[in-house]
Amino acid sequence: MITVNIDVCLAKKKMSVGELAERIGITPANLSILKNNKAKAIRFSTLEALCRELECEVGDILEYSK
Amino acid sequence: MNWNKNRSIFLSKICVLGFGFLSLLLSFLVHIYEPLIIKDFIFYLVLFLSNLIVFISLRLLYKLLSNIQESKVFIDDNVRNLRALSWCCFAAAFLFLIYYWQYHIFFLLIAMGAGFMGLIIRIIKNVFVEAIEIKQENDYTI
Repeated sequence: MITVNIDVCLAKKKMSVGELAERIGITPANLSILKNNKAKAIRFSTLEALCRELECEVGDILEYSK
Repeated sequence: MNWNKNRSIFLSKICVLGFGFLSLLLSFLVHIYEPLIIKDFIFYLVLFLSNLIVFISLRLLYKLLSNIQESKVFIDDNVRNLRALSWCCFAAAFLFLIYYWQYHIFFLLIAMGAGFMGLIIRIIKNVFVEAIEIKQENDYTI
């Protein structure tokens, strides 16, 4: 399964979840769905925005585990 | 007058209520023309049961419309309502089969009509189930 790891990058940037949601242009509720691995899919545009705001790579955010 | 979906739903609700009133009226008319119809316990039992089915169906339709008005379209409640509606149609078809057995082959045609209606609603219910899945997939796409 794919897990979404935003917390580490958030901590590095010292940004709050609400602030990140606002910068990306999604609701805090949707960001919460993403963080808690309840999302079924992610748009490239959202992924791009996450990488841009958190200044990290896709591999830092998405992780594959069996 | 500008036509919009709220007015359309309102009109549908009026039609549902109007249908209920009509079916009540029909029952009274049957009562008035009583001498022309065989005084039969089965006849009145089936008439009563079919009225009950009509009112249950109309209640389900009204609930469906109310949900749609609140923009709650592809939800499990509506799937349940549609399933119940299809069973009401099948029950009505079964009742008319009793009429056919007792009275006239004409009622067989009505039974077939009601059964077909039930089939259509059942398939619409299946469509709704798929639509709910697609909607959920979409809702959980961030």
